[in-house]
Amino acid sequence: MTEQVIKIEDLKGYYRGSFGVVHAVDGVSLSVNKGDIMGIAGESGCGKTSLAELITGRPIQLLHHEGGQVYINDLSIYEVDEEVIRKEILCKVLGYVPQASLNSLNPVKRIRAFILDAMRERVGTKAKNKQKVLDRVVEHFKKLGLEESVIDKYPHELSGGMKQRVVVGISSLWNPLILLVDEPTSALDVTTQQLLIETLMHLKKTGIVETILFISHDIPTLAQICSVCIIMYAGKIVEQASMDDIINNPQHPYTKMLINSIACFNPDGSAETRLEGIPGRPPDLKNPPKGCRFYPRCPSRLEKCKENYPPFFTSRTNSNPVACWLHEEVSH
Amino acid sequence: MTKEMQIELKNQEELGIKVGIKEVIKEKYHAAMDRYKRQFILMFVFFVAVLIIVILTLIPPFNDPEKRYWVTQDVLLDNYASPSLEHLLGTDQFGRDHLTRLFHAVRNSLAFGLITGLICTGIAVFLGVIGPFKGGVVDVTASFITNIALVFPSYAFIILISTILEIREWWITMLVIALFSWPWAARSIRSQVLTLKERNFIKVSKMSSLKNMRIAFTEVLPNVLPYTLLAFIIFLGGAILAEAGIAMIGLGQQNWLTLGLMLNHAVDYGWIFPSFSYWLWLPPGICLILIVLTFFIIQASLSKTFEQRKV
Amino acid sequence: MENETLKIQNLTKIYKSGLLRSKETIGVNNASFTLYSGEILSLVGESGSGKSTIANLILRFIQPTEGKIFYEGNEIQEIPTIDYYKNVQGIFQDPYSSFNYFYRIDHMLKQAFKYTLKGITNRRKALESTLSIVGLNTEDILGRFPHQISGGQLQRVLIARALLFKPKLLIADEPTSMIDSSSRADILNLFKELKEGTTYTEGISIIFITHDIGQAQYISDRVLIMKEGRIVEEGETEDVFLNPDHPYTKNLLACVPSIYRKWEFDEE
Repeated sequence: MTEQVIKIEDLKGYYRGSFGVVHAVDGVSLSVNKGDIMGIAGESGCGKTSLAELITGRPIQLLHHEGGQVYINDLSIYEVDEEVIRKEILCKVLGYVPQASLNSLNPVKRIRAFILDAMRERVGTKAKNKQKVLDRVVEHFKKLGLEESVIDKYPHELSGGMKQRVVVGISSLWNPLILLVDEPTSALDVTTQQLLIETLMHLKKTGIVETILFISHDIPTLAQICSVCIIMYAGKIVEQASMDDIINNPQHPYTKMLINSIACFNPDGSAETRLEGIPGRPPDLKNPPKGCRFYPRCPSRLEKCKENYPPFFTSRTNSNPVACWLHEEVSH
Repeated sequence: MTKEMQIELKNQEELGIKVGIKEVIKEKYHAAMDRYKRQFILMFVFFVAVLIIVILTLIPPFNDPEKRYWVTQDVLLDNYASPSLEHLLGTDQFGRDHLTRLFHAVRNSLAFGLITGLICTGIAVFLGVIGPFKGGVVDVTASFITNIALVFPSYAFIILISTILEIREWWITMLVIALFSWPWAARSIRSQVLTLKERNFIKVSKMSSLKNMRIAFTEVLPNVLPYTLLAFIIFLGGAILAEAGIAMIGLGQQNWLTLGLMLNHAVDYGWIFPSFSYWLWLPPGICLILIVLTFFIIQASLSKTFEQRKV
Repeated sequence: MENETLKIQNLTKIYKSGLLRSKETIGVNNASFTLYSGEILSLVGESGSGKSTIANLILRFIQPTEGKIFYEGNEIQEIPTIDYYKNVQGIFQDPYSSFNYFYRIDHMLKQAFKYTLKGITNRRKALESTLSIVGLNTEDILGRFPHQISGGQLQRVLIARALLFKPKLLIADEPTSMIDSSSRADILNLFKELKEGTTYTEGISIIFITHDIGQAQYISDRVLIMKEGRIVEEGETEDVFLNPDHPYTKNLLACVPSIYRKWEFDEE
């Protein structure tokens, strides 16, 4: 039996503000096994980033935890104090690299100052401790293929890829069990993208982190590193499967159409097959439909899809969990 | 895709009801009203008060500020009558009703601020918009003029001008204030225009063969309107205060009876000392403070309202 | 060979900035290429490779430092503005910034009729036909403000606007990079249809600028690979992507994530 490092049960997170209530994450259940690299994919606005924020236990402003549980190493993070989360969970167990974090480096401070600022909780203000941390950082950066001089540079002296690696390096400094990265590659060019992914793989191989949750809208990138993948649509998980199954044998109609709409580079042939977009657009999450959220755009929908949201069924062909009524009979 | 599905898709894609500019303004008004109710009430009260004052200055007995109730030229001091039911704010050294004069002063001060504010806004918008769009020499010149005006010691210049020119015409004070208060607004409008100029819709307009100046005034200018309105209100309050300052030290114009001129009289005719006629100098001072404060509050609440705008 | 629609000769653009314009940044460095009528040419490169600079140069938003651009044999600076934009139109990366949020969408469409398309009498019909080509309903679009419709739809409105002119050349500067993949495919297909010709327009030559090699492979007939302002490789799509010559291209293609292959990671 493999160990589950993250277990999420019926997690709900809504944005509340003057615009109304947006059901960004609406009943997500998920478990991540130790040692997995899990990809979370979906289009913009499907709740990937909100899910990540909720997993950290301290979601951003306006996003409120509305129910459900997140267990990290059997510790329910919505039942413990914020203090405990900050001291015991973040950095030590869960390293989080937020979206666009490469822009979070202060342009007028050296990387060194940024690190010390981020580590104040653990380091305090004593010069001796500071030096200890910096030594550790240098050592850690060397493992990631970053030079020692990086910590004395200003952010604008580094390229986008370097910055992203610095951020990943800082997040993984205390050897967290889990690393949660949100769209780390989307602002990067393909060559630097590859370097970053190599860095992540290196972190995993050398045992610095054990489990990686990789959020991206770019399925080809996920395909390079992930072992399992979940597809989200309108705040819910529609399919969870191994990466190979998602690409070659998708079960949910949405996954099928999504895979079919990607213009992917084929290094050994021509891209002859015609791509098909998905007509319509995702539902308004302020007022989500009662039944299946993909119902209005689904080509193979059933009558009952309109009223009832499908639970997870075991897929007919490859026994992966799929939230679609088409797979209902098999489960009986 | 079936016909039924298409219809449903369309329903689902319901892109929000078509709205007109009226609805947009209404929506903005309600949003602002919710947040800044007190400020809006204040604004309303202020404008009603101003309106009443302006109307009063047009009808008897308030229409003539120079009307004397006592003509005793021998002993000036006799004419400082304290407030009474007949003269609510008493009379001045010539026996003129002070309330009437105060109404006229408030009206004239506001008119002065309004005209000066318009001139300032005009210059600021013109230089801020034309520079980035004409480019080249025009841009350099516009920036140069703005920078020079920004660092020019305007108060010293005003004193200098007033001493050299022996005339005390209203338009000289107005011009001098207008010429030195616009630069900061021109600078900020210019920087906003420079950002807007990089937006793609400028390129799209160019591809529709629109001329540069047309793009500047029909495409870019509307987007800086909220800021221009704020600048105008700041100019308005600022001009009233500046005029009062210049007039009080005796360098201002003498044709219009403004709050500043009244304060000048307070010094020149010894209202504060030796006559101690508080009813003559206290009300204009309070009026000046109230007017400037109100404009400041209006400006502050408007700027917060505009900040909420999502672009 | 078909007609040359656009010919670019030794194009160089140097941006000057800083104190006394002393700092020089090279945008495009001695680029030459030709676009033939009825083809989709992709300009592929990473950020800072000068692909958008080329788009801006062709669309006359900036002036070249050196070199010339010929449209159907005439140098573009010598063609009157109205005539030029009747034939050459562009679409940009960010659909949201392509609209003036002060006005309704109609404003931008009507703008097109102001000078260049003065002659069209039945404007409503022209709008209806181009909007239907891009798959939009007139009622859904006219009378709305830009923030009321999605990015993919805004991008289509822009394409419809460009089609109003019946252009012969369309410059598409990263038109799909800010759009979700589910609507991206439709826009790519739309470009393919435009190349073939539609009910309203004849076949259009398209310069498709992208950093996404998958999209370039899907859409284009020929490809130019750019690096730091230079064109490093040029050729038919299949030739370039299956048998790249230049080491930069080889490296670039090796880095592209694809669902058809997995990278080998070095074991340590």
